[in-house]
Amino acid sequence: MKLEKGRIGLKGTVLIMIGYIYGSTAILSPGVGVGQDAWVAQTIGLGLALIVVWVNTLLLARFPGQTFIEINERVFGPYAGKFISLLFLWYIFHLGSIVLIDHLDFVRLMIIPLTPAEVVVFLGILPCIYAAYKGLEVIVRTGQVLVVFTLLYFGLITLFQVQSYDFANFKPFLVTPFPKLAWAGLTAASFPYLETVVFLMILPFLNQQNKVRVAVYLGLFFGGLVVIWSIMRLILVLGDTAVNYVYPSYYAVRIINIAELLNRFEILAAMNYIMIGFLKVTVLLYAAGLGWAQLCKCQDYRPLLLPLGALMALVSLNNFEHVVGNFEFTTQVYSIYALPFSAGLPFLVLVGAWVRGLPGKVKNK
Amino acid sequence: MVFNKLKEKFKGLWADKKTPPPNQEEKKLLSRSLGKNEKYFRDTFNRCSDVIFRKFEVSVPDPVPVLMVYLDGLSSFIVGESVVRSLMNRYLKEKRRGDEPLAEHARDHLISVPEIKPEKDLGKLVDFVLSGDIILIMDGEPEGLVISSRGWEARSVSEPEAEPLVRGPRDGFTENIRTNTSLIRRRLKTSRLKLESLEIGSITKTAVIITYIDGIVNEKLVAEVRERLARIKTDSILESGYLEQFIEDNPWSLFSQVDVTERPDKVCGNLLEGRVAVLVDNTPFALIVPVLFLQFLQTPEDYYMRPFQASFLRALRLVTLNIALLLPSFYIAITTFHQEMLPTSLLLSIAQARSGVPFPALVEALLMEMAFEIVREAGIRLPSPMGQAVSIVASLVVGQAAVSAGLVSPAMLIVVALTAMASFSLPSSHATEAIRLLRFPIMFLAATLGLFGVMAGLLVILIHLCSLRSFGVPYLSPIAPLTLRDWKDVPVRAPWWAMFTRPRLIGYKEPQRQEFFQMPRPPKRRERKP
Repeated sequence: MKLEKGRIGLKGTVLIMIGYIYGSTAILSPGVGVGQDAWVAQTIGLGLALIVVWVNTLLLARFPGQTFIEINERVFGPYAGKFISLLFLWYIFHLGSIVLIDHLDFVRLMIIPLTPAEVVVFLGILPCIYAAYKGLEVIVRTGQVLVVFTLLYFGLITLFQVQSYDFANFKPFLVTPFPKLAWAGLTAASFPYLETVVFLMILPFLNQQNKVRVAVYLGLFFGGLVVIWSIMRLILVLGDTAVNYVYPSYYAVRIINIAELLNRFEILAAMNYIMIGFLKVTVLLYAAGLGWAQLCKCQDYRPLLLPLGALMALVSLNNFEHVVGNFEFTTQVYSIYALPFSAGLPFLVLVGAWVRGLPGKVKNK
Repeated sequence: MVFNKLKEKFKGLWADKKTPPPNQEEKKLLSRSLGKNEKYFRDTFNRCSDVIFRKFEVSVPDPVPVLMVYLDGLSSFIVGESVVRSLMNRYLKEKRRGDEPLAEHARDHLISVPEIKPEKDLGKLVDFVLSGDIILIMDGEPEGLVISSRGWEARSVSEPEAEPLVRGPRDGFTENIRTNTSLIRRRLKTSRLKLESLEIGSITKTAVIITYIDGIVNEKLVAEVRERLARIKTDSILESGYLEQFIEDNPWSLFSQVDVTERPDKVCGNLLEGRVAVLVDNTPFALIVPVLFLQFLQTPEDYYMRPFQASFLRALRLVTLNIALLLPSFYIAITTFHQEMLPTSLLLSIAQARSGVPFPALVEALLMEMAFEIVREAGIRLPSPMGQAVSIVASLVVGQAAVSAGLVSPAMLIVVALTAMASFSLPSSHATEAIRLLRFPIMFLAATLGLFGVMAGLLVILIHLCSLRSFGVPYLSPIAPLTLRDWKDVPVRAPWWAMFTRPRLIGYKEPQRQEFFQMPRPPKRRERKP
């Protein structure tokens, strides 16, 4: 029984990984807490993540063509395996709801302030459900268009911001005390880089299974570069004042004004945030739907998407009382909350597989 | 339960429809007696005033009665005349050998017409008469002769009216499928150009030709086209639009997944890229599959112009596509929700213009868009002298008077006019069709949720486009899936010496189309000396 018949290519996968990683960092701009050293923290985080995802690639290489849910069941048997899968599914579901509210809070605060949150959230989840319903191939193809557009937008904004760059903002270099910096690095590793754990549900459908490792590392590396560069840009343009804004990257785009001619790019920025948030939520919703279908041995994952999406929207509405709560959660609690899921679970499963010598039969062949 | 009852009730109805049509008679063969045959034909063509029966005798050397049947107006008069003259010649030199059947003798020695073949089946003979051939039946012979004489009044090759070009060949397809194939064959002088012919429609018996270049085309694609065409069971194909709706991948999509053209040069260009064209008799419009969405933004002229202008025009069409789809929605969204996005002076002038207008922006936009669609439809259906009257009435009354009466703001009039011009600037009416229809739902989204609604609508359209396939090829390729090698022909148009390869997902059987490095360079110094 194959729930997903589509096969995805290397290029598309890497591109949607870039979009996925860039996803909510575009809005939340992680690491502004450590001021001018935020980019250092991001680099440490990327380095940490590059080491940790080694576990994921080993796991995928051991069980080619099998998703995380199937691997769990193989390694730990039906009961313990299902329990671990449930933990994983809870994590990606909850992550999806957090990403959804991140982006829709932005929409609600900056674009249509008078519209009730419920309307925005439920309209926002609809395209995600539709895309997930159409299957993995369509998600990847749509994602490619969006990511290519995002990268173009990125280049354009980088170019237009040049006049506001102030390289003095990087000084003083590395004055943050090391423990604080390490903590910021750990936070950065957890958000956004280790969120790529969800690709354990998607990479098994790569058409060249021997390139899984390449896909993971290329995606993570270039995604990391995009994020680090966006943080550096923020520091260059806003400097210390970045802390003062709810959405610093939006504000940094808003102040672009070249000769009274090239201005009001914030509409592009807003469109870009919506697109990239859509991509991230879609990937998470799809993975959750596919995971639940595999967990419950359903014939098809698609009927699960509408209820899952509606639940995701509801949970996202009740996640936080207000935007500030969201920010506090993301910067202070999230990394501790997420690490057991995003790094712990794959590690646990890999150790389990190693101890049990799985998959034994495939090796003999 | 009610549903089941209804189902029971209608079961009979469906069963009736499934019974095969009654024209599946047994194969009737020609009888040896001319009288019986004549009666059959006269019964078959009863009350058909355009069928001509001509009975005469051939002496070879004994007189044998012969019946000639053909359709007046569909058969060439010259061929008919030559047949009758050669058979009624009293001084036939060639004497028939005793054992040679008369039909064979007449075919090999008497009738001086290039294409001629024997046929026994009565039903087929009737079909031949109906397609304009002359049939000849002789007394005592088990076979009749079919003499190819198709020739009727037809429109001559003229400039295609729906796709005019400034630079490029001026010939377009006609209603005659043979003329059309000859127009293609004249451009592609290779035996690899294949023309597979078939017949669709139990009453119209329309000739349909699948054409492709062997070796370049993907064989699976041809097989798929053949299979989809063979699946059609209908009584009539009057235009290629019928076929198009039968063979589309996703029939419920607003976007057309088949390209339509009446230009032979466009067909040939597409065949050379590895596509398949389907020609249909009695219409100048040929179908091309598979088609990519961005092809609708291209014209054949792009390939004849210099690359810079062509690339500029392609970029321009991308812009006009977005204007045609989004401009009214953006206007509604910005004036309703996001006034801060406009520069203050512009905002003031728009607000001033809108101050007397009694409707919200959405109603205003809907009114004007509907007026525009009505004017457009009226202009197309009317004969051209009246079309001018329509345009005067439309511009004066609907435009000028509506503004001075304060019903709509001048800004909205500009927006609607620009949208209209943008949708006219797209080369293919196939592409504009979907854009024209999608404009309205997006306007509603813009009026209720501002730019977020527009964005959500755009995302849904994008997902839909990404999920479409035209005969297996992703509709948005080469953007999604990303194929950078094909970008030489999509956002820009590279010079011809740089067009090394065919589109990767379509023409991959023979990917290279020309030699590399043919960029014209000045001659080297040594060569320049005489």
